[in-house]
Amino acid sequence: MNKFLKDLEKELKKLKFNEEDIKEILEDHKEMIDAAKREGLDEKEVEKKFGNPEKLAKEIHSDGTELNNNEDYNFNNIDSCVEVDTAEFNLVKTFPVLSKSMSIDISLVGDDLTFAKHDGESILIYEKGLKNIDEYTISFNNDILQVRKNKKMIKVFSFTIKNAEFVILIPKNIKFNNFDYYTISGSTTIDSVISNNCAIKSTSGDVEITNINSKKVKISTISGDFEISGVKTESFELSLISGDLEMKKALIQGDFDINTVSGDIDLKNVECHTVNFKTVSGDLEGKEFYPKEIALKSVSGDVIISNNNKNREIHILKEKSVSGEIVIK
Amino acid sequence: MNAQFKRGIVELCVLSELVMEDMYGYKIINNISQDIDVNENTIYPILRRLTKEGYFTTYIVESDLGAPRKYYKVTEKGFNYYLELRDSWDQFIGGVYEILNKGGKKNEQILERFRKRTKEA
Repeated sequence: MNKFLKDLEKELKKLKFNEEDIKEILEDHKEMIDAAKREGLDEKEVEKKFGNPEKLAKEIHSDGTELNNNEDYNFNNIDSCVEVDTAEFNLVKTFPVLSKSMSIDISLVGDDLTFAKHDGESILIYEKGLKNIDEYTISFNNDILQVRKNKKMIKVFSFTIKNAEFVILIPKNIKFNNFDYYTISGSTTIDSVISNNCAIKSTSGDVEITNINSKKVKISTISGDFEISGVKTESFELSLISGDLEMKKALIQGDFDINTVSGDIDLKNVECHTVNFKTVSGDLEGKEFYPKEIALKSVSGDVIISNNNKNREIHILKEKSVSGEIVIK
Repeated sequence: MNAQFKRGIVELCVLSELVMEDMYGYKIINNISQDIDVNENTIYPILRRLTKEGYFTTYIVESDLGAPRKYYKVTEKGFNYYLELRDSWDQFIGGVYEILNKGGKKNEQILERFRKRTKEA
């Protein structure tokens, strides 16, 4: 089982755990393996019980609490590329990129999209299940990548048509000036956006985002659910109707403005300056959520914050509510 | 099973084990894996996270056999969290059974009713 420990150490280092954590995790495992052997398990059984070191390291990592030790918010390696499997996709367009910055303008209806970075030098656009490419405008002019479903082609009964899946890969060192994404009902996965303005809008599609580093972030949805992890920004505007938002690991240097009707907000490891929370019945629940100031305007929505560090004070600017309240535990 | 869902359930099981008595890591894993299909990969991260969040504390016990062992102990905060989780679990699973049992409790019953209904149609 020495190999298990060695592999585990390697995986933990890859995920940038600090030395103290690595030491502790390895010691815990040494002890547990020792205990397992003493109960008469042979090497094979032990192996089965302890499983795969890579998965384990990721599992420990994704629990998010490791963040507290890393002040510089190293979100799962912002400069590394997420592997996207394009084996089943067809390459439809490639555009060479000459400058270091560009903008993104994507507007889709029901198609799914995966957006990520890659090691290559060009923009690559893949599709799967696309019926007619003429229904789309795909272009790259003046450093703006545009992918749009043409309006006139949207049929009233468009739900009867099976939607396509797109994968868009962008060279990894590119920064975006504007990153605009809009979808009606497609599911979206976005990885690594370094930009000045980042605006993501979804009517009912679910969106998963990892790693945004942007001066401004604006997110809005009617009924789509958002899952975000790894954000660094100066300001964050969030607008929900009934969709929910789950956000892990975010550092917002300025204001965090939230408007919701009934959508709930779930935050974990989030820091910001002022949170302005306006809600009808949606709740805001924060674990390790450290705003400096908080203002609540609500009908029945609550704010519930549970933090370990009691020394970091949260100042309540305003609490105006019919039956909602702010609870800090 | 959905990973997130499973994680939540295992978390409840870990809490439940430790509410009964203080235990060392491997014992918790062993106890739980006797009843449900989980391995160390799932349980250790939960132990670690709940410790960091102040639901457990740990202490070391020297043993005559081999290395000293780290015991986990539920704090008051952890106990309250357990009650909360347990409540929502009971409520949830109760609700699920309400729904499932609408169609009958036994497979034969359900099948009979389904046959009858589809025949009419």
